[in-house]
Amino acid sequence: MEQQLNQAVFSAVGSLLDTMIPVSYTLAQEASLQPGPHLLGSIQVQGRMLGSLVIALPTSLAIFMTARMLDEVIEEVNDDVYETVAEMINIVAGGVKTAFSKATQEAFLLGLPQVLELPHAPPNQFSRFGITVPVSTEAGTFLVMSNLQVSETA
Amino acid sequence: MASIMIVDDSSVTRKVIKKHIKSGPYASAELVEAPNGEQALENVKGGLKVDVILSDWNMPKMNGLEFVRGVRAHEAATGVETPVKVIMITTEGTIDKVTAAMESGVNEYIVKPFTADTLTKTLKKVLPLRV
Repeated sequence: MEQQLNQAVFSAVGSLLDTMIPVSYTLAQEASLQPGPHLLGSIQVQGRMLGSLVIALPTSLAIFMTARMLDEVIEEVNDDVYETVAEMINIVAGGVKTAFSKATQEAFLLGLPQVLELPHAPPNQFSRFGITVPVSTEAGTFLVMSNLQVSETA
Repeated sequence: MASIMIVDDSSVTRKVIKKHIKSGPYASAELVEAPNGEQALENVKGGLKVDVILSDWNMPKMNGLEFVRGVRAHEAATGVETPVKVIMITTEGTIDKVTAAMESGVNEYIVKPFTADTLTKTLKKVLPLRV
């Protein structure tokens, strides 16, 4: 399950960065975030699987990626940056959902993405999550984390 | 001049779609935006006529599927001769979702993430370029 989830997350991130946000990227060796303010995007899932998917980015990287996606100069966190982080986790979650779904049975239902800003890197960032996928880009590293589990009542 | 309504609760996705349209063969198209299905349906019922609707699926207030069903019901009730073409652009990529969308009146389907090329090719299917 963890291996399949890891693979699905990285594949979904790759699809996103290959199409809508043109940045070079690799799977990072270390799952650590740089110090400083961060944006956290999360999306809840329910149904046959339960849990959440979370993306954590340094604000500088979120600004960089938003600027790349929109072809605009962006110098500080604004609504577009928040919306970009929301759309990133939404698209990644959609890719994971497709990977885990069968032809006629959805793996889970997606909630609406939420974004919040933290003044520093999220503490104890890995304790709640079964998997962490660190992605290194030319402008910094971000993490996608998930604690998805098959629902016992499904 | 062609007209296109973009329905998505994500303002950056609307911006990306607009950027792709304005940099391609539909650059001269008139673009209208709505942040959810409810407002978009109000636009349609209020008399807004467009050639193509690009709609997200998961949106607050009224989702894309409910919106498309509303559009088709309005067209049936008012005797519209040429139904508007609808392209769903969504993260929902499972076969049952695509089938449900098509059965509800969606003409074409794009799974996010998408490229400018994918958007243009799909637009060409429903909105032939006028020479």
